[in-house]
Amino acid sequence: METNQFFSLKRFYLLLRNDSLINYKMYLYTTISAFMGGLVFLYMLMPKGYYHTNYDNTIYQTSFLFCLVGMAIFYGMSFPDMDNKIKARSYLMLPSSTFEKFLSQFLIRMVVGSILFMLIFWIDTRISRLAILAIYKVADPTKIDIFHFASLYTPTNTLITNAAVTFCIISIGTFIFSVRLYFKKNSLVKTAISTIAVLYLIGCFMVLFSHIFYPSTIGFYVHSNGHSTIYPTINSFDIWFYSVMYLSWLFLLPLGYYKLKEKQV
Amino acid sequence: MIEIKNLSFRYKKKTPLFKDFSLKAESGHIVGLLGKNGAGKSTLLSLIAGLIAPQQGQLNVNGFTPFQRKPSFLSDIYMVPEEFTFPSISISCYVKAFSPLYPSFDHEKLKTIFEEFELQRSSKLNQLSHGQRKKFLIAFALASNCKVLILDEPTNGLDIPSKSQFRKILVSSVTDEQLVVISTHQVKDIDTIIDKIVVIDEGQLLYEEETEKISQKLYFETVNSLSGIENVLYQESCPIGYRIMLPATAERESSIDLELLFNAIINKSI
Repeated sequence: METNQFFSLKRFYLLLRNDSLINYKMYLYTTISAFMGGLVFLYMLMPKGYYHTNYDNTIYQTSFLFCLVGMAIFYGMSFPDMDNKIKARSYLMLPSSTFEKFLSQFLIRMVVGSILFMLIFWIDTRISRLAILAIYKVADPTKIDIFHFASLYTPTNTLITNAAVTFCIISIGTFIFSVRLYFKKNSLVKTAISTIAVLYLIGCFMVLFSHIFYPSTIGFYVHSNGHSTIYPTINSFDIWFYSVMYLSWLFLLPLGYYKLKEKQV
Repeated sequence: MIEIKNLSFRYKKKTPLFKDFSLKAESGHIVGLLGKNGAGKSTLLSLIAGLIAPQQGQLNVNGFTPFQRKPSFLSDIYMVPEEFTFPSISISCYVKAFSPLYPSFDHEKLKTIFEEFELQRSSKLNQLSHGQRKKFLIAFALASNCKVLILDEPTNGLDIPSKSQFRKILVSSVTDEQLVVISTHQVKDIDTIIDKIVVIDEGQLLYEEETEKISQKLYFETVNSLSGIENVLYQESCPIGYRIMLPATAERESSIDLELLFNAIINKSI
């Protein structure tokens, strides 16, 4: 009985159905906007007209950063009813558990949203490449590489480092998703400001600790060469850095859940 | 059933609104929750609905602690708030999206109430007038068959025929398993349907009585002059003379003048 009060598949399905019936237009417009915006943006950023050299996959990296910004905005727009006291009251009184409400938003915003944005980006890269090849009549299609997600990672980095970068993005995403619940009004703007502020503060603390523990540190510099080598390629700094990257999302999600559970309107 | 024992509540950085507040309301009643502006009516409704948490005391609704917001609690309580917004969808889409979340939802009842209120399923919610939207929300609330219905100023924005329809529909829809709490300033709109009166002021329970017992205790009358009338408990002048409240006797009984009773309670005349 207690488990049923926490999670019920039927209720969860009804909640997702409820969300899709209410917000389908918004999701549709978001998808269309992301597709069109991404296409225009990629087309503008891609090299045109002079094909004396090959253009490899790095041309897509800048564009992907903007795709990530789009995803971050989508995450920041989670729990859309919580921005308005009247809507928040109706949302909190919906007959489903707090866990189901949190999970449904996580699934829609972070899982489906991320897949959708990346799929749109992948399609946009293909279309914009084909468009440039056709419009500028590039004889050799191999002049512009086809986009692959693997090319977003630096090949010289280790698997652990590349995975850490992925988890860093996930952690920032979960921060945006969860912290949004701490604001009552203009949550998207406040979330954006707080995300930048937190990232900047982490940087400041790293600089501060570098100055404290390594007095030879000069200026706004992070001393990243840890002394004790734990593994041939990993030192103590890496361990700290990877721990933060890999694990912070595990703390951020319960933080958001707790806030939703304790929300008073 | 609602059971409140020694409840204390205060908003952040404000003086306590409720202190040692206790109240009990059982199923099968339509309770009129009355009070002046700022008396704490809406806060009390929010506490019952689990939207805010009390700092102290016990609050039990249908065997649940409201603020835990358990699904079984939420599926058996429906609140019609004073202010509301709707997504820009049609009535039928809203019903399709929300009704499955209420296990006891009665579509036939909804259809009947829609006919009474002259609501069309194809209408866009955001294109309806405030009164029509309120009627829709009341219809949905009644069709949900929730054990506890909270109606905050339900007659605000309703025209005169709709107010009458509301009373008729509410009385015919509510079952003995349900408890309806109506908070309103417009006491005349609900005086014929409520069977229990609760008056609060500054977070204190001033008065709590069933209407049947009030009728046995008090007598209400409008007279041209006060001369020759004894034992007047409370009086107010009106265009044709005076509205008076007297102790009831075995020979005479009257319908309750809720406005006069409320003013008497607020003025501590009874």
